[in-house]
Amino acid sequence: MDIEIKDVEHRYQMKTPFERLAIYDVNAVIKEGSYVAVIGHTGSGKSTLLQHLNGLLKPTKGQIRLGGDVLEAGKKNKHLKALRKKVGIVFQFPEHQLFEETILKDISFGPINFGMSREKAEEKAREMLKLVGLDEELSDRSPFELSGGQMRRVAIAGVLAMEPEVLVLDEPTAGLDPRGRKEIMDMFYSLHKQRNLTTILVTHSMEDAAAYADELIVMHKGTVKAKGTPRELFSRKDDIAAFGLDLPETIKFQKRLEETLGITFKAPILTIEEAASEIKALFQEENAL
Amino acid sequence: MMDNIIIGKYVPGTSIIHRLDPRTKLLTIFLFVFIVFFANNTETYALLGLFTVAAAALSGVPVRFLLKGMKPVFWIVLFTFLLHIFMTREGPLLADLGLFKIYEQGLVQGIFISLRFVYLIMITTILTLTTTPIEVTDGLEHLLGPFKKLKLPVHELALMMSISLRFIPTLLEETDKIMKAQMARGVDFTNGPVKERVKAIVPLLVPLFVSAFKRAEELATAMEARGYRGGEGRTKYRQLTWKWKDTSVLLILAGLGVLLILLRT
Amino acid sequence: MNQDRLIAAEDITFRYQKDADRPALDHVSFQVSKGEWLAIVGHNGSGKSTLARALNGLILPDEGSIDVGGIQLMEETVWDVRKKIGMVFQNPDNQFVGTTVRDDVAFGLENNGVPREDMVERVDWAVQQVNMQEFLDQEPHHLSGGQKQRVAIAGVLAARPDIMILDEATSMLDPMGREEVLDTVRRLKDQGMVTVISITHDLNEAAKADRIIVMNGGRKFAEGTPQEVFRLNQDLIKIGLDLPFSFQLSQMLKESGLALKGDHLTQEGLVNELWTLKSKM
Repeated sequence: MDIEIKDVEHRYQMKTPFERLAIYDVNAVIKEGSYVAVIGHTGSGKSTLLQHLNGLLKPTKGQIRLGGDVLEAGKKNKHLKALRKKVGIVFQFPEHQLFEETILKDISFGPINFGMSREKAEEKAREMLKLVGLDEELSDRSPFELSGGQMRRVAIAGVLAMEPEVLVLDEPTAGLDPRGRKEIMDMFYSLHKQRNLTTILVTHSMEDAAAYADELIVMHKGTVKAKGTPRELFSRKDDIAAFGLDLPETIKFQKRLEETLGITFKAPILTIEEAASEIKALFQEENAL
Repeated sequence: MMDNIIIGKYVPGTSIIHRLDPRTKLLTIFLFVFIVFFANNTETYALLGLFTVAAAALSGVPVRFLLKGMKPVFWIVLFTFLLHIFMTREGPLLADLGLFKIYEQGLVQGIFISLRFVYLIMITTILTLTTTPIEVTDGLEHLLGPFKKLKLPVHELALMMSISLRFIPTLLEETDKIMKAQMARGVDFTNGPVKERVKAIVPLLVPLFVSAFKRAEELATAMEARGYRGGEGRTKYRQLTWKWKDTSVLLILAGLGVLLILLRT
Repeated sequence: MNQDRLIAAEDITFRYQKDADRPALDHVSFQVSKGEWLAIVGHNGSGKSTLARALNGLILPDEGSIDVGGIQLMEETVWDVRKKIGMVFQNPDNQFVGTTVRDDVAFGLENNGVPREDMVERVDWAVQQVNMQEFLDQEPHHLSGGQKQRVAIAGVLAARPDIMILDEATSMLDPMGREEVLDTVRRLKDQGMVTVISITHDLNEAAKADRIIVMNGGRKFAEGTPQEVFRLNQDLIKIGLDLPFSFQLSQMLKESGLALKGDHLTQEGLVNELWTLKSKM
């Protein structure tokens, strides 16, 4: 399903002295099967926006169309529960949501809430446990016996087991070490590719956004300031800094190199491998002459 | 969401009541409990009323906050009032409602006793509206100081209170986060049969407790690393300074008490 | 004893559970010199945090000895050692004790029985050092992670220890918070106010240190300057770490045949050498 966000605004605590405008004039289309990264500084409204995607928050103006469902300001929506199954959100530090006596039960919790039978849910749970790289042996252990990184995987498995059509990830690698970060991001990417799972990544990491996303949505002080593919966005020389964002290391390096050597590369360099091959080509050209 | 909750219902301000030492305010409540019992006629109740209204006026707190403080006890006061009206059978008969008869003294006693409640709650409300929770903690810690000799762990209790106060907003935020995460997994906290909603507490409370214990452990470690080893030898950064106005208040209270005794029947 | 040597740890061994087969710390020895910035890196579970906690007696080693500023670390001397070592922990909320910024900064001073007049002065001074003077009366839930960590640093500074340990103090922060904290610490270290030990898995952070110790499986895996350590290249990646961008790129270019000499820790360094190479063509 496609997601269409139209003129969305959200104000917290309306009609009280504490009313606060969190996001406004938000327009975006997220096509089925795409991998979109929503980037922005802390306080830019990313978190508010993502909570609209499964109906945890409703817009105070505008509407969000999620496949056949519509979330509209002022209108009641009776299908919130179905929506929450379709759009699975992995919140930041998801290990904080674990509570069941066994890992298997915790992973099955979501699917059972959405109507799956216990047997099917447990079967799914075992499947997901393997998918996130954990041993099936752990099924009957308490989730609290595991390390932080393992608990996080259990929590992620719990959301994947719900079989969402869209997966929203809020800073999934927060607090992990380099290896942990790579494993988690690679896992989500391969899931995305294998199942054509629409993936929405909310992140501070420009490197991750550049490396994994097809499209970027840049939020700044509550509204969308820019949209486009990583290459499009990073070609725009100065914009990004104005939005309180840092450029990915590769782009920073590219700009330094271009300035110092007085050259221009044909496209933004998004990964370290690209950087290496571009530089190698640069030196080879000269040699060839 | 956080700014909405005025913890302990404190209303910021700079009135003279706000600036009183919290010990004075705590002692005032304590003494006032006794003083209200001295009143037993119109003059004495009027005097108490004057005192209460004066305190409210001096505090500068908007009336609606004071009334809000009265809300919880409204029913108790009403009940007491009615009880006295119908139970006390002295004085001339004022009204005959068949089953119930209202006598003059019943009405008078009803009003008086209800007024006691009202005054007491008012004074207490004024004091909590003008004193921050941490000031209350400090005040209590000082007042209970002498009880240390009786092995009451005053310092520890005060520290527990101040740490709890500090964590209330943090825990509320966490509750919100956990609720959202579980709602995203299909839990419905608001609709559905009562039985289901009660069960829904588990995925909320278990993570909260687990995280609370983890917090406590990490906090204890941090405190230890910063040299905390109990109350022995500790100095205090926050200070309470007793001023003339504090003494005056206690003197006024004493005067009020004396006047009441003199004006009693 | 060498004036310059603030900490000397010899052969430290520690097990969290007495019957565990692999110890959390396995015969680790190292030293810390006055005024340096030492980074201790390793994957989660490598023993780096355990090592930090051993230094100020939060855990006491089963074997081996630790000397901090002339004091032998033992159960009895733990409180004296803690006056010399201040620690900033990972979770900004779970170390914030006071109801406001100034209350929290004063906490350590209260514990040490510092007289009130001195406390007031030191709290104000410490808060200024971390640039949080406008927030003196703020409550913690109004502060960002980076701000809370800076308050924690102020709390450490106020107590005037010789050494400050940052135990993964930036891993829960966003990029801006991380930068705030690291800039603050660097400034304090450069001004000679503290010797810094930072426990981290962020290799970019470690690259800025004077010296790095790499922990793996409870053992000291490597030690040296950032350049020396990063030259271990694939070995670091195998144990769950990665390399800073410029260093990794330098290696990749060398492997592909480019006549690059340096092992660059900074982008400027690499860009400059590439420029030199190009202009020679």
